[in-house]
Amino acid sequence: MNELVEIVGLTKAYDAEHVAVNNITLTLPRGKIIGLLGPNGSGKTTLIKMMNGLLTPTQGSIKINGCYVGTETKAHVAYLPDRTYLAGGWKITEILDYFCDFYADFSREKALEMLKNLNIDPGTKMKTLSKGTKEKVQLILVMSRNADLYVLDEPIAGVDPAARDYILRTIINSYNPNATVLISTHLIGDIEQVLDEVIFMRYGHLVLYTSVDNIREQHGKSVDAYFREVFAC
Amino acid sequence: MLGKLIRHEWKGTYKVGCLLLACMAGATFFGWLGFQGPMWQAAFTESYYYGFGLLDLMSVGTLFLYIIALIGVIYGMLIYLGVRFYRTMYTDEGYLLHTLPVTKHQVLISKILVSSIWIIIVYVALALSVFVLVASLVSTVLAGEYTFAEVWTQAWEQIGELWGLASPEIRADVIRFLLYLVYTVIAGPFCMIMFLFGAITLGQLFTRHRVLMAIVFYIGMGIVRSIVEQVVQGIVASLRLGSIASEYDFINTYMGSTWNVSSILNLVLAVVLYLASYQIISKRLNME
Repeated sequence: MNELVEIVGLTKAYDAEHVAVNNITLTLPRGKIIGLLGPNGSGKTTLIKMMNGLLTPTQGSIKINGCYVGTETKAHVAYLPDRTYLAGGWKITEILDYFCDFYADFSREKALEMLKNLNIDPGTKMKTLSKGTKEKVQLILVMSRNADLYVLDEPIAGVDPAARDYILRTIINSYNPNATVLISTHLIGDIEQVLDEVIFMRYGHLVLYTSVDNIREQHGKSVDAYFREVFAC
Repeated sequence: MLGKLIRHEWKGTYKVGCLLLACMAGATFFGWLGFQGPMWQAAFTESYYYGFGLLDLMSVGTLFLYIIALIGVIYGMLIYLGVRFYRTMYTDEGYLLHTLPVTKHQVLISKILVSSIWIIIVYVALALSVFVLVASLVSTVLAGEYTFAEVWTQAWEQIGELWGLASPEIRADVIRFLLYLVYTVIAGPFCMIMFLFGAITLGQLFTRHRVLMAIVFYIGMGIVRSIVEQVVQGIVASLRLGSIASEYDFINTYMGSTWNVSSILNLVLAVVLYLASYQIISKRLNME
């Protein structure tokens, strides 16, 4: 079974006028790095939250590894939200303990190695870290898991360009070949070189789901340039 | 997984919990100090009062502060547990909790259990604090005449005698009394916590002003609960009071009915709120 994620008729409406995700049907394969792209308010984060059980769909369903979103899927999905979700009073070592306790696929050694590479002291409390460093820590926690699906919501938005390169290298090197990485971002130019496929979303609708090679071959443009053309204001 | 959740929940609450208990210990010390004033010795040993000095003013002030501090600790703990529940479940920190591979029952049970234990600890600490203060007062008043141990032994003997005399009249049942006590100690904190957590969770059904709606639910449910309690108590008591034989029976029946109705209603409400909370976080969770 090559399909990892099956989304059928997915809709999320906050009320009659605010439909964040509108009847999306999509199947994501294993072993790909997929960019989830779209302008602000296109429904990317809403879609991601539903995949992680943080939002309840109004209609439709999501299956990951053949299971509906729930306890079973959460054991196999590594999710990086677009915000700091770790309590400020925690030391990084305490967070590592927490992840070790709850995620069977979490590697403490891998996390410590990545922290060392980024010169982050594991004994530091979260509240003393800068916003960018907090994001790095969160990404390290996610990429230290041996998950089937990595869902990264704006993973590089708050970090400096030098750290972006390290993070992208980490993403490429850390996930196993059978896993899929879904990355939502506005910084298309920075991540374009690592993407296999892209999903374009607008006003909650699926506009396009194709491979990066296809965009380059058919349109003779980079993903960044094509995105600007499709979503030109 | 439940054990791990409980362990981490305990780890997350023990610092503030211990701080509040330390505050209670400090308040108890000052309360004890308040009873060391000359006013308390004079009040029970002399036929006339000698006057009200600065030390007495401080003594009364200290005792007043003691009461305020105790109330502060009890409500402080309740507010802290409520805020923590809200923060870890429904704000950014909830992103971590709700993406863990654990069931919603495990999440709820771990939080309810640890919070209820804290309420029990605070109640026990409160009882100890009052005991220390009463012991302090007794020791001050009876200084030189009796030791506290003697007073304690005497008091138990008197209580035993009083119970022996009164229990046949009021038809008191020791086992039932002990069951009530166990129920109060265990189910009471559970009901209190579930009421708080239930209100917070019901507030999450709204798209805006969720905190405000949680407070509205907390107050609203409290009012409705009181009204229902009064109505049901009135009905039950009037049904049972028709067949009473004596004045003692009247008190016993009325108090028993009141207590039973209140306990059963609170327990039913707590169970309903648990099930509602479970449904909301399972089927209607919408993290902002």
